[in-house]
Parts: sequence; structure tokens; C-alpha cells
Amino acid sequence: MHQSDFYKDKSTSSSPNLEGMVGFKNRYMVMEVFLDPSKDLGVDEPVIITQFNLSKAIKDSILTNFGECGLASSLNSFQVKYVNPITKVCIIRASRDEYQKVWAAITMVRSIANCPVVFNLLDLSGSIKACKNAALKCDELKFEQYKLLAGARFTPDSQLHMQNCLDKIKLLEH
Amino acid sequence: MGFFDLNIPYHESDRHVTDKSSLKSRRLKLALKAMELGYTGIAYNRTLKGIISESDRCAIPLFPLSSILKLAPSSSYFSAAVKFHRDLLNVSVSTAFRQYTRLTLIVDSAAPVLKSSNGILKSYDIVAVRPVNQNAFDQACKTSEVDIIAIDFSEKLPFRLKQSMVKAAIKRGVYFEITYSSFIMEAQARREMISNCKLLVDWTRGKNLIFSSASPSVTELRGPYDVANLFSLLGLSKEGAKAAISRNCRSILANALSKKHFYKEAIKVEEIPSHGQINSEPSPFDDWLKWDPISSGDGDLLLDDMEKSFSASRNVAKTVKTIDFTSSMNGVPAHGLQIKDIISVTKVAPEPPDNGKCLSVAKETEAAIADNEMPVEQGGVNPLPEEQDSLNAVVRKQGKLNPFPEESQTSLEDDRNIYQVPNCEKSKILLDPLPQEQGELISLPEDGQISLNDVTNKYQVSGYEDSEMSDLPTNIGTSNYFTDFDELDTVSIEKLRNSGKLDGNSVRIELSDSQLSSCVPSCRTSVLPDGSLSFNSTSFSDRPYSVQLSASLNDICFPANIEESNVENSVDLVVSAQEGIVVNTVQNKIEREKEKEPILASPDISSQNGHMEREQLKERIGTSISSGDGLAIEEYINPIVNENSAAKYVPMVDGLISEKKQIKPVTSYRLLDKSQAGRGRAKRRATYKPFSFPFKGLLNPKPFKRKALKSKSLITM
Repeated sequence: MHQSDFYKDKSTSSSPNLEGMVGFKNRYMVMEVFLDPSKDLGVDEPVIITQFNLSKAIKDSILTNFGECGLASSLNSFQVKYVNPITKVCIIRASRDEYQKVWAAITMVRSIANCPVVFNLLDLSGSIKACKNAALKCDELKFEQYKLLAGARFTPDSQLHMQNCLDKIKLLEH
Repeated sequence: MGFFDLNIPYHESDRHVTDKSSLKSRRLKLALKAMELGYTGIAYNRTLKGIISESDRCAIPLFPLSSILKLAPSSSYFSAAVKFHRDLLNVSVSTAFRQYTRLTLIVDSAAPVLKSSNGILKSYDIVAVRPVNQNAFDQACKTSEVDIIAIDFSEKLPFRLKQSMVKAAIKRGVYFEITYSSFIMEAQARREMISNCKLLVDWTRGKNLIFSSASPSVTELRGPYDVANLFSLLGLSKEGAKAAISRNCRSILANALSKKHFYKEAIKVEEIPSHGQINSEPSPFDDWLKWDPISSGDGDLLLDDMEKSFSASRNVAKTVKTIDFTSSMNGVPAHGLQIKDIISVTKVAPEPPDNGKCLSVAKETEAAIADNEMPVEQGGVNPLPEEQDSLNAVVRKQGKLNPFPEESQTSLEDDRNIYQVPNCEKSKILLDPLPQEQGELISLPEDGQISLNDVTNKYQVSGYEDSEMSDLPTNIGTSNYFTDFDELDTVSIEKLRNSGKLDGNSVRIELSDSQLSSCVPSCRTSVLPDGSLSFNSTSFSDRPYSVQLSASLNDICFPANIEESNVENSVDLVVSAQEGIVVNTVQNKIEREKEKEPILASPDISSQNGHMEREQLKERIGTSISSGDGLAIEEYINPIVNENSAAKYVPMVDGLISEKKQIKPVTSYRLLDKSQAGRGRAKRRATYKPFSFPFKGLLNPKPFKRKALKSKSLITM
């Protein structure tokens, strides 16, 4: 895991293949979402998270807390790159200048579609490569936990779905 | 470094509460969530207003392990989750999850000054005060003996914060608390909070500041890093923010718990149970400690034995930071037990507490050092500084020792790798002999008196040599080596000092230079029947050296230095202790040399003379050192070094004087003599004939004046 990245600033971003992308310096945050934490564990999910509703919720939060300008300056690089609805792991990209604000705004997100949520940062990295590694690890570990929790409700579909998600991670680019 | 949330609201004892069970379940959920998110400790906060009465004594029930198991549908899921988050946060998986109790008193100016001696306040682990007006705030900052000043920032402040007050509070060691749940919940509260807190944050710069949640329910709880980032919005640096949820909280707890358990400045002397007695005395330790944390979910993950031992021992963890006798090696896993075993085992008859004390000294420094560096560890092995408790556990329940090697052996390989990097080299060494040595250790006490040879042999057999010995020659040239000696001697001297007399038990002490990852000299000390401590190093196995110190080394100054050191300065103090030793050594030598002045006066000290001197010294050593000169060990090392012509030792000696300069052996001997005399000359220039030696300028406090002499010395050499 790249915990050491947390409080170190990366000086350059790595983008060996694509031209014109070296100017963008980003931070990739791997986060997990807890849906309705006050409900007992193991109950069926109240809402399914997707890239769209996550993105909307976060943007709303930025707008509320940092205003129009805050939203505008972070909107450039802000993107929810990946979401795994089974394990609730997501990857969010933000620019290096604004990532703290975006991260704070994410922390302050209280609900997604009327379901209370809690975000928790798992990993912060400066390159997509490091982020992919971290996300793969987190995803796999969380999937193990999900299996323990789901017990009887676990289906081979989930396994397939999971595999697709993992492949998606591997294909991620800036 | 663990993360703490010191404000989990506790309302169940409130006067007008109706639905206690739902409150309780909410609290339990909060506790579980906090544990899942990676926190290592929480405090249940009870808020009281007005006059405190007897009925307000702490009655907060802490959650036992059984409640977790009841609530969590699958405890394996829960422990997997906890483990997952702890790994991400670089928190040791074996750190116990601790629960504390806290009281927040809402005071206005009419209230009497809070004294920590108040019995009811004492029943809580942490005491906080919430001032509601200016007078109360001033009083809280200046005089109240509380741990935390908790101001409710989410509403318009009824009083002004003054920088002088804030400074006064910081000086006294009182912490300010900022809670973040209102931040998350309401927009209006956010506004007020930021405007109110900004001032406080700017003035304190994160020093003496803690963050906590005060969250009414699970949805307001956030992970440690998220909280730290949130507060960086207030202008706090990242490191400061991170410290505010970990280090600062931890120091509050350490202070608070030590205040709670000990009276004023009294220290707790804990008798280290000898090997045979451990199983029969679990109860005295439990009695001492009032709070009763649950064992963490991780405790379940690890071997059950370990978990049981956690529950008995982890109580000690917070309270006895400075007085933790049970194991001296932070960062050392169960194997760390080895040292403790050896020492406790071999010192059955003489006073174990003193033994422990010296160990704790060493431990404190190492803890400090290790703490600062935050080494990485593997799950299942509990090496972090906070793991004093696990080591205690290990010591206390020696019967449970056996599980450990199985557990740890699998991770031994990994541990070896890990311990390549971090501070406690000791741990590395200890890792190796663990499996074989257990049997040997157990047999040690029965011997009563252990000769040096036996110890040597045993440890050679046990493969002690394998791990680090090969590294030794490479690092010998550095002054680090000397540091090790010093530490060794610190410990041994400390022991001597405390124990007064030692009867022929031999003691083996292993030390490592934990701050500089140098090699570890496998120095062994044994106490010879005449009461002097002899100290052998087997690093040069062909020629074991022995240093003999008399028992009356009571006046050696540097252990005191180390005891007084605080966390950050421990490293410096060890080093400065060395330098202190140098000064003392030199000064004392000078006094002695006064008599022998004619011998030393000649510019060329032949080795013969040197020998004479050394022999004289040796005699002195042999008899006793009664003058209380604060003689340090280098003096004794001198003759040894000379006799054995060990070039390898020379740099060590030189390192002492010239700070890492490599000098040829012959030169160095002369250097030593001359330097010591030269020191005296710095003081009494008139009386002594000036003779020069290289690097005198380095010794001399006034280098500039000596430059001319320096060049002369080069010629004479």
C-alpha cells in the first residue's frame, strides 16, 4: 500500500505513453463506501452505487462546501474512474492542487440518494499505476470480507461480476 | 502509532434518559465502527454540569469481547475488516483496542477550581472541562488540573480565546479538543467551527491539539486519515493534523492514566515474576488496573492464547510507559521475551524490580526511537512500540510461550526482512534463537549461578551467532559501535546502581543500537562473585575481553540522563551521555594522572608507559572505585584494547573522543592518554607541561587557540 504517499507530494506524474498528459498532475484516491452503517450488517443493500451517482454526490458536496469556484477548479480533473458495487471500492481522481478539497468534500458527503453513507480513504497515490495496484489489493481483500459476510447469499454471479471489475481496474488509464 | 477517538458520547447515565438499551447499542456500534476503521482506542465521554456528587462516579460499562461477538453477524468478517484497515493505516494488527472513560464537566465561573485529587474525578480515566464563559476559560487554562479543554465550537463562542491563555494552557500540558461531527452534520455548524477554530489552530499550530468525533451515531464517524485531512482545511499542516489524532491523544492517555494510578511523583515498581512464578501470579497485575478494555477483534484472529494474555496484560500498556518492566524491547515480537526471560531468570534472588527498571530505561529509549520511526510490521507479530502489553503478556503467561514460536516462526522469514530496516536490531537477533532457546532458557534459573562460559556456549549453540554476528565486523569501525557499548553499560550500570549488590548470578544483556542500525555487539555481562561486573564481548571470539566494574558505580551520571529523556531526545541523550562520559572520564583521569604526571609528561608516550598506566588503572578497577568519580567504561576498555591490540576496538575508542575519526591503533592509544591529559590541561594550563597530540583541537573546547599546537603535534607523531 502506498500510505507513505499520503503526506508526501509527488513531484512528477508518470505518463510515459500518452502525449500531452504530462502537464496534468493528479492524485488517485482509492476509497471505500459504507452504505447505511447504522443498519445491521449483512442486510441487503439500500442503493447501488454507480459512477454516476457517486460523482453527483461528490460534486454536490463540493458545491455546498466550496462554492462555485471551488467546484469549477476541481471539476477539471475530477472523475470517478471506477466503482465496484459489490465491494464498494471506488477510485477517484483529482488534480494535485485540489485533491485535499475534493477529499474533504468527499468526507463530508452524508448521503447518496437518501441512503446515509460514509466514505473512507484506503489509499492515495500520485500515479495510475500505483493506484491500480492498491485498488486491486483492496478490492480483493474486500471481496474476501464480502464473502465472509454474505455467507449463503453468495452466488457465482458475484464472482463473475467481481472478475469483470478487477479486469476493469487493470485497464484503467489516466 | 495508534489512532484514538477520545469522544464517544455516553448518555446512558444521564438523568432523564429513557431508552437506555438503544443508547447502549448505539454506543456499541460506534465502538465497533471505530475499531473497524482502524482506531486503536476510544473514550466514552460523559458530560456533567454543575456540582459533582458521589452518584456521578464513573459507572461507564466497557464492552467486553462477548458483545462484539453477539453483534457482529460474522466475527471473522469483522476481524478481517479490522485487519484490513489496520494494515492500511500501518497499525499493528496485534494492538489491542482500548476503551477509556472520560468525563467532561461544564463549568462556569462559579464552579470551584478543579483539582485532580478529587476522588470522583479520579474514577474517570480522562477529565475534560468545558468552559462556558470567559472566567471559566481563564481558570481552565491557568489552574484547573484537567487533561483536556473541550470547547464547543459549533456555536457562537460566548467568550474570546486569548493567546496568552492558550499559551499558558499549553505550557501546563493541557490539550485543546476540536470535535468534527458537527462539521459533518450541519452547514451552520461548519461555518461557526471554522471561524472559531482557525484562531486556535493558528496559535497552537497543532501542538496540544486533539481531534475527536463526539458523534451521536455511526454515520458521523470518519476514519483517521479523513479526519486529519478535514482539519488541514483549517490551516493545520498534514503532520500536525495526523499527530492530533494519534500522538497527542496517546500522550494524554499516558499522562492521565499514570496520574490515575500513581500518587504524585511516586513510581510503580513492579516485581518481575521469575520464570517459575509467572503462572501463579496473574492477579496482582489485574488488580492494579481499573480500566478493562476489550480485546480487539484482531485478538481473535491471532492465537487464542495470545488473546487471553492480551486481556491480562494490555492493561499495563498505557499506564506504564516509563515504568514498564516486563519487556525492554519495543519493536521486538514475542521473541523479545527472551531477553526478559534471561534477565529475570538469572536474577531470581536479587531485586527484580531494579532489574526491570534498567530494562525500562533501555526500553524507553528504544520505544522512543522506534516510535519516531514507525517501523512496518507484519501481521501476527507484534513489534510496535505500543506493544509493550503484548510483551508483558508474554512474560506473564510464560506457559503460553509455546504458541508463539509456531506463530512467529512462519513469519520469521518475513520478520527478518522487516527488521533489516527498522531500528531495533535487537529484535533481529532475538528472532533467531527463539525456537531453540526456549528450552534452554527455562533451564537457566535452576542453575542459579551461571558461569560466563555456559552463557556463551548456550548462545552460540542456539545460533545466536548466525543472525547478526556476521554483520559485526563491517560496522565496527563506526562510532555506533561505541554507542552500543554505552548502552550496554547504561543498562548494566543502571542495574548495578539499583540493585546495589549482585550475587554471583550472571546476567546476559543484549543491546542494540536501535537508532543507528549498526551491528549489535553481543556483549555479555556477568557478575563475578566479588561483586564486580565483568563484561565480555564475544564478537571477537578468539579473544574475549573482559571489563570489570566494581559494584559501586552509583555515581555514573549518564543513566540519569537517559531516564530523564523524553521521547524525541532520547537518541540525543544517549549520544550526549557518551560525551558526558568522556568528560567525566577525562576529568577523572586527569585527577589521577596528576599523580602520574611525570610519566605522561613526555611527548612520546611509549606503549610501555601506557601499559604501566593501564596496569595501574586495572588495579584500581580491580579493587574498587570508591571515589565516585563517575568513571565511565571507556577507561576500563582502555587496558583491554591495548592488551589485545584489537584494531577494531580502536575506532570505537576514538569515536568517543574524536567523533568518528579513524585512527591507527598505536596512534590512538597514545591519543587516548594524551587526550585525557590534554583535557586536564585545558583546565590547568599553568601546571602541566604542554605536550601535543593529534586531534587535540577536537577535544579542546577552544579549538582556535590550539591550532598552532596541532601542527606541532603532527610533527612529533
